[in-house]
Amino acid sequence: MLFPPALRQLMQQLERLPGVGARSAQRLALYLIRRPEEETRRLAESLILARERTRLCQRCFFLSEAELCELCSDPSRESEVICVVADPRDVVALERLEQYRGLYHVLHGLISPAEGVQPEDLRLRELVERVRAETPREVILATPANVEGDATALYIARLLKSMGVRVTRIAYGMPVGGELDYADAATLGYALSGRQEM
Amino acid sequence: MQLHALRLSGFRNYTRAHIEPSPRVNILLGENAQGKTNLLEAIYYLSAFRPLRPVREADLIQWGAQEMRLTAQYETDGLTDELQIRLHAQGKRVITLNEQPVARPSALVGRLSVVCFTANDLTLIRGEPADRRRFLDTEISLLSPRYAHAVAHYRRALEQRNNLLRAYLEGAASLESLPEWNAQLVKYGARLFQARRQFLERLNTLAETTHRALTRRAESLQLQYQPGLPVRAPLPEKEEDWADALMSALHQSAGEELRRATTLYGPHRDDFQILVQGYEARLFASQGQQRTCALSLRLSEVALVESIRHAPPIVLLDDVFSDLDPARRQSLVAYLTPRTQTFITCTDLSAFDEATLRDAAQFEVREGTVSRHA
Repeated sequence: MLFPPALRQLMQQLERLPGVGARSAQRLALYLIRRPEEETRRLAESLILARERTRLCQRCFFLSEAELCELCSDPSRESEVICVVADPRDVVALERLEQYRGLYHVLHGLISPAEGVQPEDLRLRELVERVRAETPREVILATPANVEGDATALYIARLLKSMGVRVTRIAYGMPVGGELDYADAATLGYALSGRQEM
Repeated sequence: MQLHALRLSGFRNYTRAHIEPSPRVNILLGENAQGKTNLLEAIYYLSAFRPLRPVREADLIQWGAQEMRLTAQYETDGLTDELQIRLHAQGKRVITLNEQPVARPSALVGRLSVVCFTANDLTLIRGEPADRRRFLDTEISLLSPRYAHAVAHYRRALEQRNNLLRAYLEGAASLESLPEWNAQLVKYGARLFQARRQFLERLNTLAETTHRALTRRAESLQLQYQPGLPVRAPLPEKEEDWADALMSALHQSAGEELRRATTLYGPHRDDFQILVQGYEARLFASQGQQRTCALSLRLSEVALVESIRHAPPIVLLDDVFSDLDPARRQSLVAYLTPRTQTFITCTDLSAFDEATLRDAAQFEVREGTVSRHA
């Protein structure tokens, strides 16, 4: 039951990671110390390297190693369209589509008083300044379809509309190949209100 | 709506069980704590995808078992479906319909339609407004996935808004995002108001009839919706009108709300009055009258589900039958038996008359086993 101190400390550190409970922490720690020393060293180095090198792009606040991220420094991207997302992972998901050619703006969260997140805790002032400076043709809001995502989108729309920029929100709804019969009512509702002219 | 077969494994105190119920009355007979209510719980879970009693989902799994599995074969609109729910001890849940995995279970909630009468129903009459709101939410959610979605989102919007008001009072936040939280609250709040009004209106019409039948025409029963709004009758007709009414209530009470740091109007302040002979049943009805009111409410719900689904729901009577006087028992059985598949738990058969016993299927429940009586 009582593991030696250094191992115990490792377990405690691992347990603090999101999604890792006491049992997984034990399993991971025991696995790690049984691997070749070289492998452990590489893992530790990657941890420190990733921490040291990664910062936020000064334009869109996506993750980057340089002042500007790869997307912002790519001249072939359309700079007059900005897609606003809550999380860096949303950028990756959208990029996987290979369809969107504009730029992004990462908020790093959603307005959520219950979690103590107010508008000023997000990269919103930066968004407003950016829109003022870059005068984009369109700002696309791609926050999630939940209470916080909706409220954040409404808030941004209110901020930006007075600046005369076109603000749109991505449509939510039916999965491709989905049958109406099995779609839940909420999804169907979103799909219906986001319908398009044919 | 008819349940042809029910199979359980690793569920509560059942290692393995299988019953093929009768299309009419099914009596589940056994001592206390043998597993009668667990059978009703299994049927309810297959309908609502959540437990009947306030327990954690993991507690549905038999002590020491890795997973529980419920399988129901039931007939709806002349078609037979097989619905299976597997719940793993780690929390993973897999639902299949006719052996096809179901990606969005919320679309299937209430497909197996069930109305459950419990001894706890008396709290509808005697309890707090919160008990009646819980009744509205549970029952309307079984009829409308859109309502269930709105309930969850309304709660979240309310929590966010109250947190913002509190943070403002403590000087920790500005009210800059308040208009957006108002918009969310009003959007989902209006849906709840409208759906509750409709539900109670229909239930009221039906309750009048069922209550007269149950009391042999002696008493009248009325339900009156009291929305958490400063509005007088007539109540708004459309969802947009409810939205306008709630928005203006929020604006009018803004000062008071900021002082108290809480949302003063909205469906979370709803209630409905239950009137017997024009008097409030909570205050003026006898214990026996209150019991009959609760029964009338559930029976009206049976009629309401039937009118919406075009087939009577499965009726579960958990420990309520033996508490009724013989006349009410008779009216209840007479009301249900012609078309409704019913499951009744009891500890002895003395409450049943001969005719009911002759037509009913009897199951003996003992220590997590169930066997049909010849």
